[in-house]
Amino acid sequence: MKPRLVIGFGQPEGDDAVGLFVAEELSKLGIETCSVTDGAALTLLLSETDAALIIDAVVINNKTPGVVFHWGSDEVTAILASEHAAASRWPVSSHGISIFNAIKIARALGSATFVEIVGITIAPPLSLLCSSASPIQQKDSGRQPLSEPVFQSVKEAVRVVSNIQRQYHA
Amino acid sequence: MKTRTISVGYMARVEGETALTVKLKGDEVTSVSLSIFEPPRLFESMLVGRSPAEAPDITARICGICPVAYQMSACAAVENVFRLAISNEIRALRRLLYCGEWIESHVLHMVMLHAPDFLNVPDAAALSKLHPERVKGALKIKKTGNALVAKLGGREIHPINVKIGGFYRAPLPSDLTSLLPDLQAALGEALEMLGWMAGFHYPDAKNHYLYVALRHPTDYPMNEGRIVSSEGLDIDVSEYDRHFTETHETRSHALHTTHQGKTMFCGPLARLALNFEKLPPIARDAALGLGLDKDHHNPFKSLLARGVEVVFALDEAIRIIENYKRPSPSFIAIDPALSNAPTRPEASAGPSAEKHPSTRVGYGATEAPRGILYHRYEVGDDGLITNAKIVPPTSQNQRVIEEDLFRMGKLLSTLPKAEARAIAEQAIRNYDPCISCATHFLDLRFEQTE
Repeated sequence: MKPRLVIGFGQPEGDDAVGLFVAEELSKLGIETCSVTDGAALTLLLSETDAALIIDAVVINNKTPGVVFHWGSDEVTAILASEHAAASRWPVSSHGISIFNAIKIARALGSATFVEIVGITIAPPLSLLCSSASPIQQKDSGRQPLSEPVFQSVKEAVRVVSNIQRQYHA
Repeated sequence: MKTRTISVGYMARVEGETALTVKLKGDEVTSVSLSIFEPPRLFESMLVGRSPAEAPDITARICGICPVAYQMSACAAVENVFRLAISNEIRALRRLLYCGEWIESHVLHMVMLHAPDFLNVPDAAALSKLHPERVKGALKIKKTGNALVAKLGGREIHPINVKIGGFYRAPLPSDLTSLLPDLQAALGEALEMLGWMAGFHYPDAKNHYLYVALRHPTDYPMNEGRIVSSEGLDIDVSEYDRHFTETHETRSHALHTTHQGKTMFCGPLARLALNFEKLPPIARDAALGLGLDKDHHNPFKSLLARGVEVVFALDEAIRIIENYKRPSPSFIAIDPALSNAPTRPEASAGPSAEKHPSTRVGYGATEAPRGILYHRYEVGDDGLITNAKIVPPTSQNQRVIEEDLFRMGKLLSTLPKAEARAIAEQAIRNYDPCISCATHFLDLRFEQTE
């Protein structure tokens, strides 16, 4: 079976960095990963591969931060197909290309047939401002740290991705 | 009386939250109003009481696509407060960083956001099916811009390596020369992209605009220069406030800028019109081939001007890297004697300078991807900012966007709703407005009575 790209996606600060953080932890276990912070770069990467697993922070209504979700390839395709709303909720704007648009564009370019997503829930960015949760301090990092519940979910996300990868290669 | 209303619930492919209402009576437009309802950002007030050294990083947070522009204008203004002159090597590195941002911003806008309008497709995904090679090419060009920003700024989004006087760390020559093969390939790709865009149909919309841009004695403008216009204005940046006025319109959270009561136009087309001879040969030849030396009065050709500027920025980046000498130290420090010592106030000093004669004032303007970005800071005896003023390009272009739509009224009134809406959106995108910067999306409404 073709190798599959494992991509950590997000911004390097705050809880949005959790995808990058999980990718870093996976590399330490010998799983090859790449980290992407920009939607256009994600689109280019997806346009050059047929199979990818993207790890990203997600905001889901009524879900507390730190819950790990896995959407398989068929589910991602179903989300994209149902997503007339996607165009309006995650438009391509001057500020970048959303994950769903990146997959759509890469598919229009003839790639990215099989894309799975592992999402880790984070609090909606605005509520972080009034959150009383104390952030975890990470040593040797100048980054704004992950919040406690999101930091606690990294291990679970690493376990989920490792399992998916094992099954994929089995 | 017959009324027609056309509305767009959410206009994608611009940045920020905006509504546009066009009122038509028969085939005549009676009013056009661009209402920016993205909440005010209050950055200017946030800066009061902060150290001028923090201005580049605080203001960079105004925008995720042009943080470099904010850093560059903030540095220029703060360095002007302290009369700090930077070295040629640091100037070259700043231009290189700016090239990265121009490439990233222009390519995303041209191909992913604006080109679909010219080819009558709904979005970038549809465009990818139609022209896969061009979309892949654009993504590759953008990647080189990201790489430049990451190498010089420390990371792709919201770079963190810029400081007053220079950089925290200057890259090693090998950090930059490793980018050359991709930059060379991107330059070839950019020329092909320009040829592709030259074949698009451009709506006929010529107008005599009042173009405003920076002009530098020898170079295509980026980090410095005098403010010039197509009507003969030629002033130092410190005179900006005497010539440009910001007014508040009740319909919009963003301020409207005028030049002595007149509507102005800034950005790639204005830069090109006012600095054509400063383009390096490869970009100038490309522009000449498109006739942009004379035919720069059609706002839809902003698309081509951006394409020429991508060629310029790639060529400039290659030139800078080939001549790179690592600056050591990587920044010029502010003279400690000056950092707290009061100096004489400026003749055109702002409000707090009038009250406190020891207040020092600094002015900075640089060319952001979308046009002139002006910063002014006043610094008090304690070395902290007492007053800040920031004028982004979208504020300067707000009036001209409305006036373009006004001029298109007759055309809009004759077209079916969907087509009228599409061409109005396309006209707005000529300016690549960054609404987040200007306040800082688009609900488009046509109201027609006959």
